[in-house]
Amino acid sequence: MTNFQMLLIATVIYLVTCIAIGIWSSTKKVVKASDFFLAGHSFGPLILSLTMMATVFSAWFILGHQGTMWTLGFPYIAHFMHVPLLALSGAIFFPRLWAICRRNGYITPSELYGEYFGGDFIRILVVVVAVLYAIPYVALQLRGAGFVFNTLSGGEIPVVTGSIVLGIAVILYVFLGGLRATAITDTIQGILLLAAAVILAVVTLSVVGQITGKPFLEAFKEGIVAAGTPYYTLPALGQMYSWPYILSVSIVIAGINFAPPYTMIVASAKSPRIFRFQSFVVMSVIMGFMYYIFSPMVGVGGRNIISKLANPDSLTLEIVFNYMGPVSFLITSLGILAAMNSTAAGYLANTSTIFARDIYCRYINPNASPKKQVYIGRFMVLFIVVLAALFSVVFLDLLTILGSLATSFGIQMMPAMLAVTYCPKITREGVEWGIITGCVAVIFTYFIVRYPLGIHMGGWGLAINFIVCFIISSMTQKPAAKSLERTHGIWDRENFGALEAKAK
Amino acid sequence: MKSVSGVPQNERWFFGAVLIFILLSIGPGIQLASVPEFIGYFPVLFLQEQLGWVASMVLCYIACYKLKCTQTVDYEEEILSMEKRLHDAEIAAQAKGE
Repeated sequence: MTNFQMLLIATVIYLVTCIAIGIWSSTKKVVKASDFFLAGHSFGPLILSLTMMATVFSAWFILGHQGTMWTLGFPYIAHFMHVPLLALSGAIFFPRLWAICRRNGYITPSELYGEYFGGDFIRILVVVVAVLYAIPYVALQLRGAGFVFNTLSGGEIPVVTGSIVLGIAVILYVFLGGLRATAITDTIQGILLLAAAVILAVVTLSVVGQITGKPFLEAFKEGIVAAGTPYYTLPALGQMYSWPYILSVSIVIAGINFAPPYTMIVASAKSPRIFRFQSFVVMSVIMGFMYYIFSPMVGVGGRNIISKLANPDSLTLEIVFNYMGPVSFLITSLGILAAMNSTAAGYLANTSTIFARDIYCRYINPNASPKKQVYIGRFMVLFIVVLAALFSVVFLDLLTILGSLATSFGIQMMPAMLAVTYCPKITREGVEWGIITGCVAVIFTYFIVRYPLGIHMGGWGLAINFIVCFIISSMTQKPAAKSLERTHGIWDRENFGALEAKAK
Repeated sequence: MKSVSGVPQNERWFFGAVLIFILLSIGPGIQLASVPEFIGYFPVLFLQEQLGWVASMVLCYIACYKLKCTQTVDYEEEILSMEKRLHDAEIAAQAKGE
């Protein structure tokens, strides 16, 4: 049996397992909407941490980074600081976000921001940001799965077929089981993803030793020296990967924590203590190790194995295809597919909830029962996948840049989250105008004047957003006392009222 | 009204430390380390990247376990009982509606 035939069987087993989890999850009783949309707030440390990890780290984690590192070297590694920043901002914001959502029964970020600031415009704006963020991401993952199937089958499986197979499996289990099914599959997929990254690094290390006949570190050093000075020094200011670009792009990617489809997962945690484990142990230590130790082993060490690549993104697949035994080939290939599957499923489940709760329940049928809401949420899963599929066909050549635009739009929610968690002086008008001008700045600094001063478009968007937000907030009316009580009142009772008194 | 809510005076240094960390590890400070000389096997830039990761772990540990302003554990029970009250009210409203 060839490696590819084994992979085909393993993929079928893996996708059938995901669907079976979806079927099992669909048997859970739904009394209130959060039972389905937030899995009844039931996630413990392991499930929550691995779900958040698997949702954030897409195929880029195991395919894209290694290839770009192979090309650019150490300046590229500097922007891995987005991983520690994700951990740090999670530790700072998530416990408070959890407290607000649980205390007030919010399910989606639109409900949180809509109630806090008042008015419908902010709700709609959050939905628009969620869609701008999630659709390109889902489209990218589906397309990426097609590419992986195609490469690992030696061109036997067309890209479109691979995309459709993954798309159908994801639709089925998210449709049936919502966030619960997504989280359980993400936990399994998160473990597969970590195993794949470790195996990839170990195999690279051993192959480098075999090819060069030298210890890994010595070969590693020689590879770097042979690559020349630009490989291990930062480029001059104004060029890609000089410090303004690294600073801005790292902050923008860490902005995933503020994107509506991602922040929704926070309220599904059983307890705020879980974020200690999620932020410190998983995101900071484990993922830091993956990025700062294992990824360079593959990306930089890979230069000793493959000196010429037509498409650097195929570095990982070349190693998997040409240098792995059957077991490591299987685990790594499934890990790569899991990376794409889990990201697509996470954003799909949450964006469908945002549509169901913030459009359907808010404007079409405010009295919808929880069962009706679940039904609509499931229908929305199909709608978003169709939208993502259309997107990937119409904007095929632009998919990568649209993915990058997605993170730039996602971080525009940062002032809004800052307002509800730490900064009561920020007002609705400030946030609204900040988001609008921020999104316009993102588009302008990519399509009209690309990366002025070497700063990433998301960095420009965020800077303009903050400036506009603070100027307008200083001139407009602060949020209502009731809004402040429900949020800041939880931890700042002296200034915003006692929670116990209000609860009685 | 305070501009920063629920952050005690003695914990504000942390946010300054985060800012300095960002400026040194991915901001202008990283340019200082971008020199072609090697220290042992690794370029200086790579060493600084690794140090940045270690420093971020220390900051993340402090944020997770040591600061009071990032904790809501103290209010956990209270929040959950509030949530239960909301839930009961929702169920009662549903029963009334049916």
